[in-house]
Amino acid sequence: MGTSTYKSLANLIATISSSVISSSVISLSYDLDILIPKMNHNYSFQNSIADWKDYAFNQSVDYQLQNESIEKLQTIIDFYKKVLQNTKDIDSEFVDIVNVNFWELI
Amino acid sequence: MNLNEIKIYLPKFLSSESERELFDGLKDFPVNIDERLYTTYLNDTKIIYQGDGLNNLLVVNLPKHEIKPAPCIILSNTCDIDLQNKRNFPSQIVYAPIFSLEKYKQTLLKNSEKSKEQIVDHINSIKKQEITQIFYLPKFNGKLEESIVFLDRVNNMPNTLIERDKIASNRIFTLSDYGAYLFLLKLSIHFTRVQDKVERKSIRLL
Repeated sequence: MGTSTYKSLANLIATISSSVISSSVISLSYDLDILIPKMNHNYSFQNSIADWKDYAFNQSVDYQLQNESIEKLQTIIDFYKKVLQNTKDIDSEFVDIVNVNFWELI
Repeated sequence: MNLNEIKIYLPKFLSSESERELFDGLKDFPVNIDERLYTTYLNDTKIIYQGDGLNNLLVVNLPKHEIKPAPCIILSNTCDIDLQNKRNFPSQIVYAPIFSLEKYKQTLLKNSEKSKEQIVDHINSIKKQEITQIFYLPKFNGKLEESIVFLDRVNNMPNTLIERDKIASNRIFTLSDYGAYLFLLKLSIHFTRVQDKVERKSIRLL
């Protein structure tokens, strides 16, 4: 009897403890907002659907992944910058050497 | 700017896989200036593509009169030189000779007053596509050694003189989507950059 009473009390304490823990407010060390995908949603309604076959394979106008566009645009801008940032002209002495030795260089 | 607007500036008709490859290529530049500039996907076609390397095109180095066959890269737009497109005013095919980078380097070392370090720096700049007048062609195994094209040494000839039935055997390389994009960017920088630092005032009409 004594043993089962102790077990029951222990179970009760454990149950109360867990309920206290589960109702506690925990402060997270990171910002949850950055985990939420950023998307643009625009929903339009078409009055006529008779010509739906003409447009069935077009990209949907009412759904865009903004991040995908920005990433691709940024990729192109970065590529242009990388090509342009170190551009330099050829030395005029080298041009003269090519003119004189044109056919030997091919 | 949305995705559709961006796509205006990209090569057309790309599959999603090819588009992903193109963007991967643009992202990885300049550590991917290698065989990824080329494709074997179009080897067996009878079309001449912009950026193709072809053997035995006639080249002249004016004002000298000598004309010789040489490997060349095509500068013309693919559509302009496609024989399927009937035109009232057919375009000439425009191209530039391909030079050996190794021969160029050795010739500079032999003839230039610059130091060896300066010449090696210049060659490294070429390999990083930094010289505006030069398009660098990396080695293409079994097809092409490291080469260069001077974008200001352009030639032309009648488009119809190049036999399309023999193109597959005459072609040295075709540029990949990424390679073609890089080629077009360098062509545009060389020929059409707007910021040439020249102020041009209009004639005033009285």
